[in-house]
Amino acid sequence: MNYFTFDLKKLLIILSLVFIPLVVINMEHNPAQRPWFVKPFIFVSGFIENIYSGFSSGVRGTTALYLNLVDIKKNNRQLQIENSELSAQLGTLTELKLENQRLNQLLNFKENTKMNLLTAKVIGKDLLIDHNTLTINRGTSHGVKEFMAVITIGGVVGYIVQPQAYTSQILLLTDRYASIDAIVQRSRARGIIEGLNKDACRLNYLQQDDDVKEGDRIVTSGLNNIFPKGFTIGNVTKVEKSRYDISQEVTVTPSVNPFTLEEVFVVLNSNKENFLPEELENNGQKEKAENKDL
Amino acid sequence: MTSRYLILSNYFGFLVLTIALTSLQCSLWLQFFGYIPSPYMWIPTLAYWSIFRRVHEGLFMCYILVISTIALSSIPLSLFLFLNLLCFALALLIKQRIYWNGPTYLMLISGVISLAFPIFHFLLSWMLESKPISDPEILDGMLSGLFTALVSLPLYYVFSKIDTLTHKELPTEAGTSNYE
Repeated sequence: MNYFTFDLKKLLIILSLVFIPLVVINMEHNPAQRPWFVKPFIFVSGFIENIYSGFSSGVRGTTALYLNLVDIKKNNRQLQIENSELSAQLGTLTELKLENQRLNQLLNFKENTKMNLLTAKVIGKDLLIDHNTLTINRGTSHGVKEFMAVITIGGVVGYIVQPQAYTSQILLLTDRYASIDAIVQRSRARGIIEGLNKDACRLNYLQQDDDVKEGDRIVTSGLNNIFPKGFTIGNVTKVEKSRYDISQEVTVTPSVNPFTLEEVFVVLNSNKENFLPEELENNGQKEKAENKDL
Repeated sequence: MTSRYLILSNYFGFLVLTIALTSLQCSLWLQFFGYIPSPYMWIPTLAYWSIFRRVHEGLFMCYILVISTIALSSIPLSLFLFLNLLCFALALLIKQRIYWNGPTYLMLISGVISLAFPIFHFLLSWMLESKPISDPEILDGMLSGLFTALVSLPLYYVFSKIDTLTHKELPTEAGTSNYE
C-alpha cells in the first residue's frame, strides 16, 4: 500500500478535520468575541431561545397561576375565616368597650350621689304593644319594692309596679297609667306627668296662668322622697292654651328613650337628694313668696 | 298512661310551650330584634284550640292562657280576659263559615285574630278604661299580626307533635271529627 499516493479527497477531509480548526484556534485572539460568521447563528439561536423561554415561562406561569389559585383559594378561605373571627372579636370588643363606658358612667353616677341605688339590667318588655313596661332582673329579694323610682343618668325612666322575687316590672313614664309629680324647672309650676304614647307624655293639672314655655325642662318635684328632687324628666315640646279651659295642655318629650335602655337604677332610697341648682331653688322660693304676698 | 293523664299532659304541654313562647316574645325577641314589634306568641295556641278543639276545651284553654301570660304585661286582667274571649269568639265565627284542615288554616285564623286584637283592645280600652289608649300603634299592630301569622305556620307542626305525643286525635275535616 502506498501511503504517499496523492488523493485530493482525503486531503480535503484531513484539512477540514485538523487544519481548519487549528487555523481557527490560532486566529481567535479574543475568545470572548465571537467571529462574524457565528453571529447570525447566535442571533437565531437567541431568538429561538427567547421563544422557548417565553413558551416555557408561559407554561410555568400558567401552572404556577393554577397552583397559586389553589393556594389563593385555600388562603382566601382561611383569611375569610380569620376575618370573620376578627370581625366577631372586634364586634365583641366594641360591645364590651361601649358596655364598659356605660357601666363607668353608671358607676360614677352611683358614687357621686347620696341616693341608695340598685343597678338592674333590662331583660324584657311588655307582652302588648299599647302598654309600656320593662322587666328588670331585680326583685323583692334584692330589696325592690312597689313604686320605687327607676332612673338612669339621663333622667327618669319610670317606677316599679309588680315586684316579684327576682324580677320586677317598671311602668315607664310614657305608659298611660304612669303618673309622676313634676315641676317646671324655670318657673316652679307644678303638675303631674302622665304617659301619652311611647314617645311622649303630658304635664297635666297645670293652671291656665302657670308659666310654661316650649323648651322648658320638666323635673321631678321630689314629693314623698320617691324620686330625687330636680331630676330631669324631659323637655316641653308643645304648649296648648285653650281660652275656655282652666288648665293647659303641655306635651313633654322624655329626656331618656326607655326603649334603648340596657341598665337602669332602682332608687332604694333617694336620701333627699336634690339635683336642683341652688340659684333656681332660691328663685323659685322667692317667686312663691311673692305670689303668696300678692 | 290513662286517658286522664294524657289529657292533662296535653294541656300541660300546650301551657309550657305557650309560656316559653311568650317569654321568648318579651325577652329573647328584645335581645335579638330590639323594639321591632314582636309576634303575639300566645295567639297561635288560642287559635289552635279555638279551631281544633271542642268549644268548652278551647274556652278552658283561653282562661289558662290569660292567667299564665298576664304576668308579662301591665294590662288589667279583666281587660285581657275579655280581649282573649272576643278573639276566641271571632275564631269560632270564622270556623263556622270557613274551614279547612292544616297549617294554612291556623295561619289564617292566627293572622285574623292578631290583627283584630289591637282593634278590640282599642275599642275596649275606650269602653272600659279610665285612661284609654290615645295613640294606637297601628303599624306596630299590623306588623305583629303579620309576624304572628308567619310563626303560626311552623308552630302548627309543634302543636300537632304535642297532640301526637299525648294521643290526642289530630284535626281532620270539619264535621267529621270530634272537634265540633
